[in-house]
Amino acid sequence: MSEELTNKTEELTLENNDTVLSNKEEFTAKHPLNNKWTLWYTKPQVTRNENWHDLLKPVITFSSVEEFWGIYNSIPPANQLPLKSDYHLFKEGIKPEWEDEKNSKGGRWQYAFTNKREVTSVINDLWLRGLLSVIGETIEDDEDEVNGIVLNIRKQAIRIGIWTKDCDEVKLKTVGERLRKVLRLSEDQKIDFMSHDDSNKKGSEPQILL
Amino acid sequence: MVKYTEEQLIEYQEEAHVPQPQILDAFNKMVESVKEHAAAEFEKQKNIKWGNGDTYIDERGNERSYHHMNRRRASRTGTKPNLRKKSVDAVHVDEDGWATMSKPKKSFGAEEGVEERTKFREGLKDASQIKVRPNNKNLGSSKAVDPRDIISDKPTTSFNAFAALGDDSDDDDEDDE
Repeated sequence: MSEELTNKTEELTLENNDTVLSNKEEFTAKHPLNNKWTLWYTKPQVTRNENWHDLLKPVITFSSVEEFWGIYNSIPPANQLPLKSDYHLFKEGIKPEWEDEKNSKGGRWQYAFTNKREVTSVINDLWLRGLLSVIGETIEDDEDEVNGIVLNIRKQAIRIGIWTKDCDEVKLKTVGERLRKVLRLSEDQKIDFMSHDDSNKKGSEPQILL
Repeated sequence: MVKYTEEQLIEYQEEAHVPQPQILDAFNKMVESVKEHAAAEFEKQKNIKWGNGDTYIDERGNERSYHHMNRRRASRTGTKPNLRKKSVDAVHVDEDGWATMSKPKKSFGAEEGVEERTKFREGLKDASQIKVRPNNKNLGSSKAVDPRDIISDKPTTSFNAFAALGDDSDDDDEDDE
């Protein structure tokens, strides 16, 4: 037993010159993010027996700027996704569902690009800007309101939304104003905020229009 | 709290590191399979819309559908025309010119009113007994008059002051028209 332990600890020395930067894994984390983020994907329904839970899939979790770029460059861009697909980027541990306890009291800011012919050429750039504002955490000050960002690819429109953890109008306004800038919206293009509770009710009006 | 602006994040783009390439490969394959399925569904729907559901194998061995421009006979798709001969009802015309079907349809009350019918026919034999009085109130139509009809009924030639003055040149112009 003691011999075995000796063999295993033989390589350990205080004179080990290895640093964080010489280790491949540690090196890639030299620009750590404030939070860990998980990318989720909603797969369009292919067979009738697939339900929402089967379709929503966590893809990968990352915690550094370098990893973000590695993932972003390796997955299909927004304009290459099939119809009825969604990308969701949420803080680790939060599921992109209304029922998740971190989402249940919140809602979402959203803008729907209905002119698909025009948006197809710019959606990749707008979605990337959205992702960067969320992982870089410049979408808000210190409110800690944002849980994640969502992209919906639909026949009628492409939507980008920011999910928040509550519906406090004062805190939400900063996030809404920043989202407008990120999406490069003009004066007449309004984003709306709706709580998840209201989204569930038929005919609900948005809580805030900005 | 660590924050990165958009510009700072873009600066680090060249230092990209793929954490778990095998997972991302699997993800890409899944998206690709969904796209292929969607394309196949689209093609299927298109064929349902434009074809008649029938297919053939072309010279290269590919299954192709018939499009509406060169569609096959409808009988090939299962909806065959009904070729059964319908029985023709014999019509008997009597000496007074009344036509009677030899097999009166039950739905029209074949057995009922035979007596009344005979009585009515007998009554009509002496045409002089019948006095026809037109009911004037039904002669007029309650249908609204179309104003365009009134306009079209108007005389098309109107009074021409120049013609009345005997101006020959203007008469010639009118003839030309």
